[in-house]
Amino acid sequence: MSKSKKKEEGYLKSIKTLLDNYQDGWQIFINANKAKTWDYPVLLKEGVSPSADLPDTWLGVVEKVCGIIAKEKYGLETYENTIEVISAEQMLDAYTSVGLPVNYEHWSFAKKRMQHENEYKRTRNLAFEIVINSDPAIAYCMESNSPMMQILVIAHASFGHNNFFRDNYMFKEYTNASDIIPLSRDLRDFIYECESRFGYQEVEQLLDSCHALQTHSVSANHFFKAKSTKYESDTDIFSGVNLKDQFNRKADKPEQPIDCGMEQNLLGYIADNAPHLPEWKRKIMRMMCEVATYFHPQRQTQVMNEGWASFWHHQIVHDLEELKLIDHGMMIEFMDSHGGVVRQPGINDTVTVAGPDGQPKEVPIYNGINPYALGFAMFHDIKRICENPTEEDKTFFPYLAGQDWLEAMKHARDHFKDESFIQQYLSPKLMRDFRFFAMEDDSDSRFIEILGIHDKQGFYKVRETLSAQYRLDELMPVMGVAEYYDKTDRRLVIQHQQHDKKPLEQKHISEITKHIHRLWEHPVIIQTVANDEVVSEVQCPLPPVNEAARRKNERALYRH
Amino acid sequence: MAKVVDRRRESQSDRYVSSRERLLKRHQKSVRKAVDQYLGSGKGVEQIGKESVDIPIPKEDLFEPSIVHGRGGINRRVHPGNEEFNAGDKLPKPPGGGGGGGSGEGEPSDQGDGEEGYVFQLTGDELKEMIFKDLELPNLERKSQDSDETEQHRAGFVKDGTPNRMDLVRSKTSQKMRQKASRKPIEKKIIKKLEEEYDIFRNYVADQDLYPDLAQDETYQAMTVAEKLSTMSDLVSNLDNEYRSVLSEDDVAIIDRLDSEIDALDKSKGLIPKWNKATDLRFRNYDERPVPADKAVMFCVRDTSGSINEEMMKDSTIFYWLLYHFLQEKYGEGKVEVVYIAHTTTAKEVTSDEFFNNRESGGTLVSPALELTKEILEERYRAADYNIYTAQCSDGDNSPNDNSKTMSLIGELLPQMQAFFYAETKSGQAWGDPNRSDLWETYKRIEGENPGKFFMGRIKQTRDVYTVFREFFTPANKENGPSAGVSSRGAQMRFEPKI
Repeated sequence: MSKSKKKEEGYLKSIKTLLDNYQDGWQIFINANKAKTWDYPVLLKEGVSPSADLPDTWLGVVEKVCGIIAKEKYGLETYENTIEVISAEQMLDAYTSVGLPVNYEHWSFAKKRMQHENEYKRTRNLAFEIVINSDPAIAYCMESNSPMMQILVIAHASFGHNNFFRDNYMFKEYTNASDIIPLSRDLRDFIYECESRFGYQEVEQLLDSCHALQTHSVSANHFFKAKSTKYESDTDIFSGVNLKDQFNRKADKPEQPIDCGMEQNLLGYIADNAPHLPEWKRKIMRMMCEVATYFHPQRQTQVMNEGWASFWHHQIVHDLEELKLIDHGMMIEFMDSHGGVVRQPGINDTVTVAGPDGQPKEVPIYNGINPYALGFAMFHDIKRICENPTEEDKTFFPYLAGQDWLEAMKHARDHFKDESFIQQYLSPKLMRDFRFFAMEDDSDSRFIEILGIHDKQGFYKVRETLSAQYRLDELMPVMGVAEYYDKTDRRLVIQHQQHDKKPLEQKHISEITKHIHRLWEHPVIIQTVANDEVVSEVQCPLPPVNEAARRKNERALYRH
Repeated sequence: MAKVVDRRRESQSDRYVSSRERLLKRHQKSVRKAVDQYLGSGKGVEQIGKESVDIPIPKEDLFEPSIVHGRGGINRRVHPGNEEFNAGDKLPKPPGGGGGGGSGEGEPSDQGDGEEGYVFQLTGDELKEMIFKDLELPNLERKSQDSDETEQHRAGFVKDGTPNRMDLVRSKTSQKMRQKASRKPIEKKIIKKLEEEYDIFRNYVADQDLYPDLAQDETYQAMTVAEKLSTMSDLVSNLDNEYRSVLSEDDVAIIDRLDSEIDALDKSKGLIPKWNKATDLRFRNYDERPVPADKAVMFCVRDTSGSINEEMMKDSTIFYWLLYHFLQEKYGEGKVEVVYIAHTTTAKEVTSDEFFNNRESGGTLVSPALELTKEILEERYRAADYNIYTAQCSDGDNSPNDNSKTMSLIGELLPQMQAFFYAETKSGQAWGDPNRSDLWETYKRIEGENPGKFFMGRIKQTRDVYTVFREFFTPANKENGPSAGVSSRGAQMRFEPKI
C-alpha cells in the first residue's frame, strides 16, 4: 500500500513540475476548453527557458500529462508518439490507405476513396482518430475535435492502442512496428519502378490478383523471408520446345503429387512455386504477404484493442478530473462522447426519427455487437472482479478475485486474442448485463433456434458461441494449398476446409480461381472439402470437353 | 518527446490523383456510357467543363473478388438485448433469408453496402477529357502567320549574364580547363629542370641501361606533360636518394639551385586563382524567336426558319458547343474565333446570343448563308493564316432550285477549309420524312467526292448528338471502338485459357 502511495506521489510531482513552467499552470486544460481551441497558445512563465522537455503546443502538453499518468501511475509502456492534426479530406485519405502514410497507386484506392466520400457526404460522420502500429506510433486527430475530444483521443490512441500494439502477443508475433513504414515505402518505390519498366497495366493486373488473395496470404513464419527460388523459362533454350505444352501430357500411371501441407499463405506459395513468373512479380507478391501479415493481428484483436483503449481513455480522463485538471463541464462533454462510443443497442432497440411525411418513425438501430462496448465492459469487469468479487465471481474466476487488478488486466492484454479473451474472461454478470442470447440458423432447417439465453444453463453456450464468433475460420474460409501435380499438367489443388457447412461465395471464388490461374499459368482447382470428401470444386480453365464424347454427340446430331 | 504536426495546410487531396486516373481509364466504358447519357440529357450544356458531374458507375464494374463465405450453412450468433426468447425456442425464418443466413441458393450476396452503385464525381476537366478523348481533328495544320508572339529558345552559352542563368557545370568545366592551361607552361619548365638534374645524376650511374638517355627514349618522348612530370620526379627522387652522397661539390650546387627553382615554380602553380570570374563563368543564353500561331475560325451556320423546332434548336446548340470546345481543346484556349451566321431565305451575321436564342419564321435558302460565309472568309480570314471550319445545322429543308447553287458554293469553299460539318436535326415533331431531305441528297454527293473533308450526320434525338460528333472525329483506323488495350469489361478480367 505504501509502495503504491509513493508511486502516486511520484507521478503527481512530475505533473506539477511540468505544469509549473507554463503561465496557465494547472488551468491549462480548462483554459483551452474555455477558449474552445486545441490550438491554445502555451506560454512559458517568465524566466523559464524553452527546452526539449517542455512541449510548445497544447496537444504536446496533453500528450505529456497523459503519458505521465499512463507510464508513471499505471506502468503502460508505449512507442514514442507522433500526433498529426488532419482535415476531413485527409481523414478520408487516411481511411483509403488503411492508415499507411505511404501507399502505392491502384484504381481500387480511388474506389475506396469514392465510397468513403459518398458515405461521409451522407452521414457527415468520420472517426475522431486513426492510429498506426508503427514506431513512432502515428495518431491522426481530426481538426474538428474540441479540446476535450483531443484529450480523449490522445489518451485512447496514443496510450491505449499504442500500449496494446506494443505488448499484445499477436502484435509481437506478427508485426514489427519499426518495419511497416520502410516496408510500405519500399513497396511503393518498387511498384513505381516496375510500372515504369513494364507499364502500369501489367503491374495493375498483378496487384488485382494480390489484393484478391491478400486475406489468405498471412505468412505463418510471421516475418516473411524470401526463399531463393528456381523457376523455368517458358521455352527450352536449346530445342526451343515450349515447355508449357510438354507439361500437358498425360501421365502413364496415376501421379503422386507434391503434398503442400495445406499451406495457408496462398500468395506466398505461388510466389515461391509458380513455374513461370518473372522475379519482379514474385518480389511484389512477397511484399504484399508482408503487408497482409502486418494487418493480421488487427482482425483478431478488435474487441480487446478497442476495449483496452477505451478503458484507458476512461481511466486517464477520470484521473484528470480527480486532479482537477479538467472541470465538470468538460467531464460532462467527455461522458457524452464516451457513452456514445461504448453504447450497445439491443437487438430490438429502435430510435424515433422524423419520417418523410413529418410523422415520427421508429427505426431499428441494432447493427451487431459493438467491439468498443464489449471490450470496455470486459476490461472493466476484470477490474471489478479483482476489487469487489461476488460469490459467483469467486466460483468462476478464482484467479481474479482479490488480485491486483492492474496486473490481472495486463496479463489479459499480453496473452489473449478476442476469441480466447472472451472464452476466458466473459462473466455471467456481463452476460446478464448485455442480456446476451445465442441463436442458430441452419440453412437446412426451417427454423432459427435459440441455443441459450442469459441464465445459468445458457452461460456456457452463450460464451462458447460468442467466442467462436471471433474465431478466424468463422470470419473467413479456411483455405490451403493441398497438392501440386508437378510431373504432369502441373495443376494446383487448393482446398477449402468447410466449417459448419458454410459454402464459398461462388461469384467471388470463380474470379479468385481465374486470378490464381493467371499467376500459376497451369490448371487451378479450388475444392471444398467436408469430412475428407470433396463436396464441390471450381476450376480454371474449365475442363476441356471430352473429345470422344463430343464426336459421338456430333455424329448423333448428323444422323438426325 | 512526442512530435505534434499540424498537417492541415498540406494539400493531400491530390494523393489519389493517379489512382483516380487509373480508375477512370479502367472503367472507361461505364464512364463513357454515363458521359453519353449526361450529354444525351442535354441539360446544362454550357456548364460542361465548368461544373463537376456525378457519374453513376454500376457496382458490378468495380467488383473486387475476395475469398469469403457465401450464404448458407450453419450460422450461430450471439446478440444482446434479449427480451422474449427462451432456450430451445424455434422461430420461423423471416422471408428473404434475413437474420444472418438464408436458403443458400438464391442470388449471391455482395458484401457491404447495399447501394446500387457508386457515384463518381468527375471534375469539369475530366469530363472534357472524356468527351474529346480519342477524337482527332481532320486536317489539322500548323499555319504560321506574322505575329507578335515569341518564344524563348536556348542559344548556347555566353560569358556574361545574370546569376540566375549561370550554368554551374559549364562554368566548372571552363575553370578546370583554364587551370590546366595555365599550369602547363609551369609544368613544362619544371620538367626541363628535372631533366637537367637527371642528366647530372646520370653521369654517376654505372648501369646506363637502367637510366636511359631521355632524348633517345621514344616512350618518354611520347608521354604527355603530366606523365612526364610524374615519371621524372619519381626518377629524380630515386637518383637523389642513391647518388647525392657521391656527387661532386659543383654538381651539388647545381642540383640545389635547380631544386629551389623547382620549388618556386611549384609554388607559383598554387598561385593560379581558383575562380577567375572574368573567364570561367558561363551563362545560359536565350534568344527570342517568333512562333507560328495556330489559329482557327469556326463558322456556325444555322437554319432559323419556321420549320426548326425547340428540340432541334437544343440539339444543334449541343453540337455547336461540342465542336467549339473540341477546337479549343486542340488549338488552345482563345485561339478559336467564331462567326455566327443565321439564315432563313436570307443570311446575316449575328451575335452568339441572337444565334442561340432567336428563331424566325419563313422559308429556307441555304446558298445565301454560304455566300455570306465566303464573303466573310475572303474579307477577314486568309486561308494561309487560319484553320477554317464550318458547322452547319439544318433540318434539311432547302428550296429545290437552290440545291445546285449550294453545291457549287461548297465546291468553291471546300478547298480553303479544313473541314465542313453538316448535322441534320430531325428531332421532335419534324416535318416530312425523317430519313430524307433535299439537302441531305445534295450533300451526300459532295461527301462522296470529298472523303475526310466533308462530314455529315443525322440527329433524330438528343442522344444522337454525341454519336454523330464522335463519328465525325473518330479516325478511320480506329473505327472499331475506343482505344485498344484497355479492358472494356471493367473489373471483370479477360482470360484466355492456355490449353
